[in-house]
Amino acid sequence: MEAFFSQFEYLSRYVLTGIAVLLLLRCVFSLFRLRPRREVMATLVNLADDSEIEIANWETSIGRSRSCDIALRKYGTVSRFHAVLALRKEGWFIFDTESKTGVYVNGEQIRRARQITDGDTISFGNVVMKFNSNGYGEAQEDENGEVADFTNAARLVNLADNSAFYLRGSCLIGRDRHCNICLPMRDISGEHAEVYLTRDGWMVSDLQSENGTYLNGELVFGAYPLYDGDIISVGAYSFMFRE
Amino acid sequence: MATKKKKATHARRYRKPVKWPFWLLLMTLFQLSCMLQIYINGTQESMVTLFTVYGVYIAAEWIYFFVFGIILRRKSFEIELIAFFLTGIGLTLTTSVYPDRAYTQLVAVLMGMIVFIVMLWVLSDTKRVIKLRTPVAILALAALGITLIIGDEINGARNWIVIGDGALSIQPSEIVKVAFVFVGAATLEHLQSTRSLTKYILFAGACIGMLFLMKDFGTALIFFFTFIVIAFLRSGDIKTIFLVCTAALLGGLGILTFRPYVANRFQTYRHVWEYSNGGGYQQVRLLIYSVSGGLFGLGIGNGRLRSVYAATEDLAFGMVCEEFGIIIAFTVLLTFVALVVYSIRYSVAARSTFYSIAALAASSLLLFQAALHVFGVTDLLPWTGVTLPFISRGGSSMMCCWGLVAFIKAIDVRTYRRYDKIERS
Repeated sequence: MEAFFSQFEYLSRYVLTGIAVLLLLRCVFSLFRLRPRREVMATLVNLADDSEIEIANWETSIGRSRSCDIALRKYGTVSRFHAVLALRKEGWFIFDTESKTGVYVNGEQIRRARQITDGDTISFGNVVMKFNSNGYGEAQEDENGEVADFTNAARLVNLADNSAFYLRGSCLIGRDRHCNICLPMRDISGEHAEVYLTRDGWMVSDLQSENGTYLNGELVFGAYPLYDGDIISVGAYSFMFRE
Repeated sequence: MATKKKKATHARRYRKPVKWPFWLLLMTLFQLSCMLQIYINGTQESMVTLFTVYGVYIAAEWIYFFVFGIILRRKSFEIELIAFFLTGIGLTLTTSVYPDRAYTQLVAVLMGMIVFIVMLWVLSDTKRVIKLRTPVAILALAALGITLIIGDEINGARNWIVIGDGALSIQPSEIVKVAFVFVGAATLEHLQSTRSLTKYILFAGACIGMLFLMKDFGTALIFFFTFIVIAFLRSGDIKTIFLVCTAALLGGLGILTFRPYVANRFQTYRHVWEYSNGGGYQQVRLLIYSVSGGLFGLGIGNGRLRSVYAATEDLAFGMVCEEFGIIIAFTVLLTFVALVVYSIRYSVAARSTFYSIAALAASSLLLFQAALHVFGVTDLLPWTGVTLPFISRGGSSMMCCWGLVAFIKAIDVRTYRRYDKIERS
C-alpha cells in the first residue's frame, strides 16, 4: 500500500498537469473556434431609390450620425440618432429613440416601440423604407398551438438568395413536387437528399441520388450529423445549415 | 485537393461543441486524484469531511450536466467546464489547508452554482432585465451604504458584515460587482434614447467612493477599471474616458497628498525583500515557495506556503504555483484571457448590446482582478489583497465569480436553445 501511495504521488503530479492543460486548452480552443457566423436576417428597401440595406445584427441603429449602423447621412429630416430596429423574442421591433420627426409605421406615428412584420413600411423623417423579414421573427405555431421560439429553430439558408427554410421533423430535397424543398433542375434527382432529426441532432443523408449530395465539399455516404454552419450542396444549390 | 479536404475535416472537428461526458469524466478523475493526495498526505484529518466535500461537489457537477445536457438538451458547456474546474482547484486548496472550513467553502460553491442558474434565468428575457436595472442599482448602493455604517474591519478594510460572532461573514462589495455590471449594460434603444452617461457616472462614483471610505482599494480599483470598460462600450467616446481617467488620477494624487496614511498601506511596494520579516513577509515567502514548486508542483499537501497567513485567499496564486506547478498556474491565467477574447469575438452576434456589454465587462473584470492578484503578490503592482477568481477561498467572492460567468454564458445564443423539441415524423 505504501509503495502504491508513493508511486501515485509521484505520478499524479504529471497526470494532474496533463489533465488540467488538456481540459482548459480544449475548452479555450472550442470557445475560439465557435465563431458566430452572421447571416442576413432582414432587409430594408429604401423606396426612394430601391436601394437595399441588409440587416445582420440583432440590434441596428438608424440615424444621420456616422456612428449609426445605418447612416442616412444625406437626409436632413432624420435625427442624428433616430431609431433602433431590434429582433426580440416576440419578433421585430422598431424603437423611436427620441427623434425630432418621429417614426411612422404604415403611416401611423409610433409612441415608443412597435412590433413590425414583413412588408411594413417605416418612415424616418422623409425616408420611407419597406421592411422585409427574411423568414425571421415570424412567430410559428406548432401542432399543439404553442408558439415556437423561432430563433432556436433549425433552418436551411439558401446561399443564393439568403432565404431560410425552417426545418421541422424531416425535410426532403429533390425535384419532385412533394419534396419540402423543390428544386426543378435536371441534375437533381426526384428525391435527392433528406435532412432529419434524430436523438443525436440533425442528420443529412443522401437518397441514392445520381449526382450525389455534398456536405462541406465531401460526398455524403449514409447519414452524417449536421452542425451549425455546415454547407449542404445539392446540384447547383448550396444551403447553409443553421441552428 | 487533399489538403483542402484535410482542412475541411479539421475545421469540422473543431466546430463541434465539446463532448461534455468525456471531459467531465476527466475532470472528475482530476478531482478524485486531488482527494487521494489529500488522503495520503493526511492534511485533512477528518475522512468524513474529505469524502463528503468531494462527493457532494462531484455529484453537483454531474447533476448540473445531467440536467442541462440530457434533460434540457443544451449544447456548448465550455464555460461551465472552465468554471467547475477552477472551483475544484480552489476547493482542493481549502480542504487541505483549512480542514475545518471545507464545509463552509462547499456551501459557498453550491450557492455560487445556484446564483449562476438564477442569473441565467434572469438574463434570458431582455425586457425583464431592463425592468430590473433600477431596483438592482438601488439595492447595490444600499448594500454598500449599510456596510459603511455597520461594517467590521478585517485586515485593514472595513468591508465585512459579520453576523453572530464570526459564524457568518459577508463581503457585500463582492456581490455588488455583479450588480455593477448588470446596471452598466443596456440595450441599444436605451443607449440611444439617453445618450449621456451622467446617471451611470453618478452610480459608479457613489460605489467607488464608498469603497474608498471602506479602505478597500483593490476592489475600488477593479470597479474603476470595469467602469472605464463599460463607459467606453456604451459611448464609444474616447474623449470622455480620457477625461474621467485624468480626473481619477488627479483625485488619487490628491488623496495621497492630503491623506498620507493611505500610502502607508503600500509602503512595502517594491521593497518586499527589505521587509522580508515584516510587512513583506507573505510576499517574500510566496516568491520563494512558488519557484520551489517547479513545473509540475510539489503535490498537494507538500508545500510550505500553506503555513503562511491567508495562504488560500490573498496568496492563492502562490499556492497553485507551489502545489500544482507553474504549468497549471499559467494555464489558469490564460483561461481568464481567453474569456475576454471570447467575449470580444462573440459580442457582434449577441442578442442585444446588453449582453455584449455585460459579457465583456464581466470577463474583463475577472481578468483585471486576476491580474491585480498575480501582479500584486509578485510585487509588480501594489499589493491590495484581492482574491484570485474561483480559486481563492471566500463565499462572497465565489458567488460573485459564478454570477459574472453567467453574463459571459448569456452572450451565446445557444445558451437558451433546446436541441430536440421535435421528434422525427
